Amino acid sequence: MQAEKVGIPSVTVALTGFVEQARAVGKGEGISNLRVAEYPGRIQMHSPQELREGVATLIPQIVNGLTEEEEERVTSTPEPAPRDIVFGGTFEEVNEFFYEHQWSDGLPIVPPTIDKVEELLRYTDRSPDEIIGVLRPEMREATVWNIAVNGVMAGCRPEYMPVLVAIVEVMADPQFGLEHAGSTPGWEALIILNGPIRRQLGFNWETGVLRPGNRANVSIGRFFRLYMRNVPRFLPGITDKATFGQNFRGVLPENEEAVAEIGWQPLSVDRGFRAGENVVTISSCRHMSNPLKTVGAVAEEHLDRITDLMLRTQEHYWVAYGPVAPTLIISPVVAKKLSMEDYSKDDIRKYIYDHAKVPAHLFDKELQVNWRGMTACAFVEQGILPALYCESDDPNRLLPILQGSKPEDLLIVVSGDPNRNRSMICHQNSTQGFPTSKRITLPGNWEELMAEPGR
Amino acid sequence: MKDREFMYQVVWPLGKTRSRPRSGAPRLDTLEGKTVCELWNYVYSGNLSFPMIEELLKKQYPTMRFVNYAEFGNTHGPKEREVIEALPRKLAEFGCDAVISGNGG
Repeated sequence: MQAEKVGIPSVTVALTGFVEQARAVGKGEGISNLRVAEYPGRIQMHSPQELREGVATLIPQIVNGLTEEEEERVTSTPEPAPRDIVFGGTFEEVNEFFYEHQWSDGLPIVPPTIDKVEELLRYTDRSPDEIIGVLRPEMREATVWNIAVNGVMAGCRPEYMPVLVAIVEVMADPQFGLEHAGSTPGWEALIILNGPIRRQLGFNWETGVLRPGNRANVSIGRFFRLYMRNVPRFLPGITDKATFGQNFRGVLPENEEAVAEIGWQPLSVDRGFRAGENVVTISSCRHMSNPLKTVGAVAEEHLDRITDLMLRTQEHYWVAYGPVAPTLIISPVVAKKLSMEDYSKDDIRKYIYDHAKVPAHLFDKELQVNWRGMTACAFVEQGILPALYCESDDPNRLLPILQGSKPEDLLIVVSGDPNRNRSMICHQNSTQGFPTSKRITLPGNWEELMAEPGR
Repeated sequence: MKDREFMYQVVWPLGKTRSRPRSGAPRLDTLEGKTVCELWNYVYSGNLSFPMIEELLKKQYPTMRFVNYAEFGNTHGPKEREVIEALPRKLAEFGCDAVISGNGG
């Protein structure tokens, strides 16, 4: 796309199944007739002969794409202004209309009437017209207004609005890498909440924290995915190429009371905020591990099991993509056990970093998934991995699977049933949905609003 | 007739698009003698497919010249923003007449 923008003709090679996505992304960038050459099938599954045959099919497409003019496909249809009424009808009719237009996630939505939207807008001092960012792939404006509209649709109470704004600020932050959220791993967000707002809005952070059932947790989790659908426009099969995908995930507030009791700091402080600030942190989550039970009177018995879980469930080659920032969620009783043996969060991170290693021959074997013929040493030579990945040619030398991220990029959150000895790992998707935190800004009259009857 | 009390007048949940359709670059009259630059996202076997593309295109256009993807850096990864930002300058520096970018998948 950059080449076309500076007047250089280009052809994008895409594998079968990804041509439409390539064109849709091109359209978002303004190139409505992006020239795409389709490689037939999955290139990584092809024999050398099949690869050669597949590449041969690209040649006429490349030649044509670089030399033949194509009729412009520029189409532009007027779109509604924020307060325009786009439909009127019953609850069922509104839901059908939204579903037909791909504005709904398939569950019933709360009809976004102007009155309902304005109820949410009371809970922010920001102008409804304020643009938080422009979100790829469709390059649409994220505004305070459309945050409120989608918040209504997701079933959020008006007072959730400050949290919703912070969530969209995360989406708009370049560090979060939102533009890649349509990639095939089909990650879903892990939304972590810190601060007194957890209690004010009635979140659950104990037993069944990630289960549906608590309105604040679940409707805000739903909002994330609905907004992803309606503003950046990640649509399954077109701009969202999730192989399987996941359902939206409820918000995970940290149990700050348990954290304080054992003398640790909450995640928000690890992320550079002051204790007591309301903070949202969002990470991509490729998958949640099984809820690992750990036992034993000695801290290392728990840490060894957790490290083993990390080794068994994270693809080893993943570090070659860039920094990896998994989240370790531990229940309060496990956190307490570790703290009683003088483990701080930093000590836990160090333990896992030091022990989450695999023999080089296994690491190299996994690299073949994306980089056929490559080795850890070759990646060191190319500057993609640090020197410690090639300190010798011993196939049994141990290589870390978390190297590449700074220590604090292993996020630790205390949450879940206070009395159960389980831990889970959210495996993160590298530069795509990289953990990003934002302070939640409350309106000046927050206390007054929260004191209103019915709140 | 529907009861007006149960009618909902609703607004649009999307945001205004900033996408401004523009024409793609003009195409070339021939590839003979042209410099074709390769951009790779370092996945999906581009290290294997680009050399084959070069070889097959060279058969058709013997005077065609290629600039290897390594000159531009990984277009997808931790440094992609810097790589993309630097592209207009680098494409000019290398005298690129055309670009092949891959591999999407």
